[in-house]
Amino acid sequence: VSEIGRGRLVAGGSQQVRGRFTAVLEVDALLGLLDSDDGELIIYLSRPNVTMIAPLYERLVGIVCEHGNETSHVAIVARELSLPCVVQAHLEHDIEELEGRWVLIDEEGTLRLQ
Amino acid sequence: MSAPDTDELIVRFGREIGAFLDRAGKSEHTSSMFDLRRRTLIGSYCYFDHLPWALDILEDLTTPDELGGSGRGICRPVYAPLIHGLLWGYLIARENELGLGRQGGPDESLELVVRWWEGMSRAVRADGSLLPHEAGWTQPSAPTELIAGLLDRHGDRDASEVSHVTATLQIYNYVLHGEQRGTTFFHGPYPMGDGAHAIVEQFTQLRSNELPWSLTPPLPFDSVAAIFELDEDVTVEFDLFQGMYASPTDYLAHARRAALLAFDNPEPIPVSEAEGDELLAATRDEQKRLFREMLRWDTAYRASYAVWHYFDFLVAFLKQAGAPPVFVEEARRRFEQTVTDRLDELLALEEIPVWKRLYARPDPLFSLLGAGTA
Repeated sequence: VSEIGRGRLVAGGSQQVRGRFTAVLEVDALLGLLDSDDGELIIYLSRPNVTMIAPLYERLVGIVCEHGNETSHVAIVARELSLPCVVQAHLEHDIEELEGRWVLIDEEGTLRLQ
Repeated sequence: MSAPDTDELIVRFGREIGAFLDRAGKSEHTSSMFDLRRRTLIGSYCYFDHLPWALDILEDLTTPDELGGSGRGICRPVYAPLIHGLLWGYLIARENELGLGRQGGPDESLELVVRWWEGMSRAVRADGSLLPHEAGWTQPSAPTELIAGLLDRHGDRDASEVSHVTATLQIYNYVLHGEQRGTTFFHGPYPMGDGAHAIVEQFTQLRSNELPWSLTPPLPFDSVAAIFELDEDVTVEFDLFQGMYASPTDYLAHARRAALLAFDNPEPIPVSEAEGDELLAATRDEQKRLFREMLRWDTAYRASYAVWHYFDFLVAFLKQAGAPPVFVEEARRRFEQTVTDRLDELLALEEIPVWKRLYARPDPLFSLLGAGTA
């Protein structure tokens, strides 16, 4: 298990979660996911935009955003859904390298690769 | 209302908007799916072009105090963010016109809009204040005894279960309204004794609205609200639109009581667990349909769709005041005319003056009476 990045945990945090890293930076990526049944996703967004999680939220185990803060709409919704949400995340790997890999979000907002 | 009084209210509203933008961390207004800057502006132009006409109709039917006061309660048709939205819409379109070097409309129209906004805003709060930030980030909109009574009768639900429903409705409402919180509205705080306080998270017009893409609403309820009673160590703050900020952020872990109620009838009815599940299932399916439909919208519609939000909100005022249906249809025709008259120019603008101004935050944020008049 190696650390791949960290950010501010603004929702969740009672336990670590494990899921498949899935970047959704454009709507096209979201459309691709709509046509699949993949679950246990840790979704990675650039902006904390709820639209980008809306069709998928049941399949998420965690949310990671490059930007955002504790008042972002994504963070508010994540709290109500009891999902961990990490904002202002800095990743030490290219996003493409992480796509589809199993990742942990721990109780401190650290992301680790399994 | 005197001209200096009008100007003072414009200044105060601008400061409130500035505080809201700072608080919400809004440094941009962009989306992967929608043209947020132009959509907000085309809707605002509908108010700039036609709100004085609508207020003239309301003047014959009711008063600002009566119409604003009708919003006191839970899931009422007219509520505080809609009231603030009227002035917000009118002012940002006016400011854009001024930024384009054109006239900002007649002063008497601006005075009319400000007078109605102030009267309704004071009446819906009923605490002597006008704006949330000015009043310590509070936005009470219902009698405290109403909230306390509902919690006493129905506050036995598990807060995390209730919050799962509200989160799902938030997401649904956000999609339904094309990336805006739409009819989601947090209000409070309401003191409950022992230092505890309650908040309300309400959703209205889930089934019944004027949004053309929501023609066959499948949800079992039109209006739903959650009420949470929170421990004394939780701080909650409300902005002038729909938002709430809580500290600690996991405020629901500090909920003492929670209720989930439907407000489709004169008496609120508890939403059972089974009905909550039904609501969740319907919401999930519908938002996927909406999402796919919205992806098919063309460039122009990804901006002009917002006109129907603004129309939907204005209709709430007209209907609540008892305006005959002919006025609602006239409003629809007028809003469509604004799209015809203004959308092409708006789409062609590379830089939109009002956004530049909003993010620069001059004080006053909005120009006073007399600006840009011939």
